Amino acid sequence: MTGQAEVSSAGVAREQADKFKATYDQIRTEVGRMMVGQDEVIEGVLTALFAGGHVLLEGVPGLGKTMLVRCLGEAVDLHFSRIQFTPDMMPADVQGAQILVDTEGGGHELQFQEGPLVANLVLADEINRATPKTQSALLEAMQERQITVGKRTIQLDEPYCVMATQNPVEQEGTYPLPEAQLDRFLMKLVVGYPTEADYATIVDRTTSDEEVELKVVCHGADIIAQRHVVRSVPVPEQAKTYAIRLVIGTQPGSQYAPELVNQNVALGSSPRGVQGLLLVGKVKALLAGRFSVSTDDIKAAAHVVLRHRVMVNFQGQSDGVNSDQIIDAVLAAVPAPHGA
Amino acid sequence: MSSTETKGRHADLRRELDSLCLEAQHHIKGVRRQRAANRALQLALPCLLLVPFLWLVLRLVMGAYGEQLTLSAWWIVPASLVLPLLVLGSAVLSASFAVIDRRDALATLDQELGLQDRLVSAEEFLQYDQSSPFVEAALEDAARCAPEARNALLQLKRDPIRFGQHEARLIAASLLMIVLGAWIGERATSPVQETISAVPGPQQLAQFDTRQENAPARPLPQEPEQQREVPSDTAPSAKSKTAESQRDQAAELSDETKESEGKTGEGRSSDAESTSGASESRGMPSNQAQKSDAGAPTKKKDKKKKAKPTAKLEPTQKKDAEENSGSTAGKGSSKGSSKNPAASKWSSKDQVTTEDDQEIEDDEDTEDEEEDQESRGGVQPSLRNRKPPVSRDLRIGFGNQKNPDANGRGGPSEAKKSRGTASLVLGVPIPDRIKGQPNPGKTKITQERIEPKAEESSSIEAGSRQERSAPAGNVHERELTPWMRTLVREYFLTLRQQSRQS
Repeated sequence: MTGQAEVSSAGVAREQADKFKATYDQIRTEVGRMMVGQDEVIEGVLTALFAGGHVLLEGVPGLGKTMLVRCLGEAVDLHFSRIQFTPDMMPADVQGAQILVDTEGGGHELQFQEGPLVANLVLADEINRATPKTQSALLEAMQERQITVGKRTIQLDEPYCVMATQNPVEQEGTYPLPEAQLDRFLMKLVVGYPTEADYATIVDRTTSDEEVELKVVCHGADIIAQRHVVRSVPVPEQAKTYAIRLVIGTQPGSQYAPELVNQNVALGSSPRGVQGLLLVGKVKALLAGRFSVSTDDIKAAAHVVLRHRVMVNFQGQSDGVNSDQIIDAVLAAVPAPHGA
Repeated sequence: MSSTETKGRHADLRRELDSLCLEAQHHIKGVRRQRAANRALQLALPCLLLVPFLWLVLRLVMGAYGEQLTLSAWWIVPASLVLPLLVLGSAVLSASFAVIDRRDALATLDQELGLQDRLVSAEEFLQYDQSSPFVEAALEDAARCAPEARNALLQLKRDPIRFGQHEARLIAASLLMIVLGAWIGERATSPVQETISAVPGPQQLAQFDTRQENAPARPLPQEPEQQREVPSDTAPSAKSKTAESQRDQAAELSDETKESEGKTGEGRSSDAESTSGASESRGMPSNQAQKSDAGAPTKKKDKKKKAKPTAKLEPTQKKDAEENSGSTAGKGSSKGSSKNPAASKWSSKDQVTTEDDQEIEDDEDTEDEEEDQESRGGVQPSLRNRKPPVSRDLRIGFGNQKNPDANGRGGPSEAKKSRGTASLVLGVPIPDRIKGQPNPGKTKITQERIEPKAEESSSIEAGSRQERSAPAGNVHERELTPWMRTLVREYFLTLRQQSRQS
């Protein structure tokens, strides 16, 4: 009886892990039909979706950031909405507002009209073009998964994921995201240029008469179920301690901070960084066919999770030091808890 | 699922982990020993140079003093090996006896075999009280990987001890030092032995005498002939040089003899004796310079001369030239003139001999002061280093009192002495060309005094307002749309109803 229970227990985990991987692969393949040459970005977006976090996509215009999120919305069959952020946009434009509407009896009444933030998959396009006032309207939605307008509080449906894009080049007329906003993004993915071979495919697909229609391969309920699977992956002490040390290592003046951090970092990662490292590490462990998180998973997640949480100071900016270099230094300096 | 059940089910895995752990600990110890040996080698090889270096230095020092070191070079080789071996041995021993944690061992195994923390995680999961499907799956995964790890563990290789060019150079350097020290020792001892062996005994002397009688006459050395062959135009200069050198040697010799003979006075030179009386030199301008030149040096100066005889030569010659110019003629004693390095008028003013100065000169410290002056080139006036420095304080004073430290060298004080470069600059005042403001305008101040006066006014009586008789004007009323009119009407009706109900 005990042996059967053991087999069934481990078997359940294996089955869940296999299903998770299958779902992940299906979505990736479907989105990959439309998106060319951005496999790492697609994987990152899917990792954030399954880990239950939000994604910040940074890249120059024309690399398909918006299309990626739109394709994901189509493939997953989630309520998708897009907000094009502009400098004159107000919080009410994002969250929603009360408007006067006609009633059936010829009367009128004030009704709450939901903003585009009330959806499952929100694409916040060029988020740094809005003022900090409007940007802050996303804070509650991203962290508490609810929106409060006046005395009304709206609970947002799960799965809820904000995918924001920002352009690093067009800094004119933009407002940098505040630290509180940045910290709420689980990952920051840098979208790079495609390779030479990918260019040909992109041109063929976008300039011909052929239209690619994406199929729905997954639903919101499946995503929620997979999120539970991700959260049930155990984290051994080795990996947990390593993640904590990495985050402490990004804080200047700390025990594990290397010299590069002490000199060039103004603000290190918050405890949300550890949460992010472990969640992304769990997804990576499942994708690697393992049932517990390893230090290698934490290392692999370090760049995408920590790069937007490390604020480079003036000296670092003037020396051309970026957050990726700092994270590399932290990874090199922080030792694993165990090992000879 | 309880922990006892978990432990019971995974007993095989536990045993497997135990054996893996032991092997890993053994492996890690070996690796650590090698690492420690490698590290210690980096420290030990420089230590290899220490003893040969000290030996070499000792050889050199003892060779310089003409003494012989009895220690053989063959003893240096093992002696120089002692310290490096100690360093190496202590490092290896400490690595061998270090305790390796169980999790450290398994984590190292994970790293080396690329198991991605499977073993160390399993070790931790086995301690859990509550198990979950994923924990069970992770333990199964670890149980599957453990035998593979065991097979792979035996194939692990250890890094060899690094021995590169740097290490070889260090050893070569130590050997070189040993050889060099031995050679220096041999070189230092060989002339002594040669001289000892070269000292003739009585028999050898006898043999030498007989040989000398029988031997043909040796040719004369070449040097005198070469001297004869020197051209005639260079001969006087050479002669003068040789004469100077002979004189210097004679002076040195005379100094030495003076010093050696002390107070008896026998060693004094004839010049010194002739100028020993100060009264002779006073008031004799023509003889002053020459006599003072010879008479000035005292015993202490003689000592200084001994310290740097060649350096003294040039200033004394200059002194001769300056004093022969006669600028100081008849103004001071011979001591004053001899002390004065530059025989110009201003410097001679500064160097007026007083009784105080004579006392200072008698002091030994004053001699040092004079030496300082000479070292500065002899162009500066006497610097009284013992006196307090010139105050540069620019304060006016304390209240109405004058600044006690003010001595006319800076700041508002008494009339300044005409000394230094500042005294040469003419103080021509430059008048202001624009006096006052360019166009200030006129200012008129008028003052008026008005006294307040009381005014009486009629009071207005308040009365009740009557109804409006005529229309106030056209009031524009915006025409409402029917739905809004209804809405407003309903709104006010509701308000009235509410007020009635309340």
